[in-house]
Amino acid sequence: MNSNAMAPEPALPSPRKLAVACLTSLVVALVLLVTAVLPVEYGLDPLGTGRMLGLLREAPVDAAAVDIPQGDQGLTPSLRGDVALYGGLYRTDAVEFVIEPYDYLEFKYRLEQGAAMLFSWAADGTLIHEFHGDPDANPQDVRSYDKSDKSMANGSFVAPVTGIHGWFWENPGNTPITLRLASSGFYAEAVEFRSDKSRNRRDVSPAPMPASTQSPASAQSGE
Amino acid sequence: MRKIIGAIIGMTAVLVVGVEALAHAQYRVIGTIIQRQGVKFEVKTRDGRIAYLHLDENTEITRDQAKVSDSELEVGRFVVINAYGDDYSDMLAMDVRLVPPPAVTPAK
Repeated sequence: MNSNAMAPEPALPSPRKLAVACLTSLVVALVLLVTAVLPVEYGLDPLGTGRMLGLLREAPVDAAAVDIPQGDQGLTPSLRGDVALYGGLYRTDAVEFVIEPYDYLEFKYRLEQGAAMLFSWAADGTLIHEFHGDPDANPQDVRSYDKSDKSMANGSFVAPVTGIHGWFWENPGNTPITLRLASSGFYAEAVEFRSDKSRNRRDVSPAPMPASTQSPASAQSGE
Repeated sequence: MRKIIGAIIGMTAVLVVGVEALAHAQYRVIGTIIQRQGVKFEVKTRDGRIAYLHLDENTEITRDQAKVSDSELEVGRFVVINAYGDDYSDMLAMDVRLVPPPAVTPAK
């Protein structure tokens, strides 16, 4: 290596200065590697900086960037012995999806810790499936509740943590699969994630009360 | 002066790499290979978009769950790819599955 021969001699930095410059660059590189590159590229976050800086991403779908409204709306249960009471009304929801060949989607409801949900879904083909949740506190700490190939499932669920909870479905075959989901529970919104990175938020209205139901006030007035 | 310039160049390079890393995201690309040149290839997706991808030594290529050579990535083959990148203009294929093309029959 004789590149230094071209430089005028007086401008040559001393070996010590060169070493300091190299060391500085190395230290900066190491800091960025540990604080940013490792969390983003490999999911390794030894110092917690990735989470602090919001750099961590969910796999396979990036949920962290989704605008999911926060707030209670009476959907946090209050335990009274064996009963969980809610200030808000329960909701029902029914959706239908077509999952194209080799494609996937995720659909999740936002539930407060302890909030309950009933669900039933059925598809006209077997899907790669995982029922899981992403805690608000740490979306990377994905909790898997059920991971198996399925064409249908019926169940009940109590959210172990506040966050979004729902399903990953992947169509492994070369024909479209139609899936229908019905659920009810104490949630106010859902989010649908598609493989093309589109995200659709879905507001869920309170379930209609039976027509004969009277409000407490009208019942007391003897109507 | 050279020390300062050297340090600035070094830090800038590191920052550029860091910023690039922050922008990366994972994509699922499903479609037909329409061009292949060495490690670079293009895939036309169902919705008509073109994804520009490349392979590296870690890219896993499979057919029927068995590893196959990258020579099987021929124009016209239907593939399902998990890729990493900023957008469709430049992505690294992490794994490529050679699969039968979607059936032409309409959805049930």
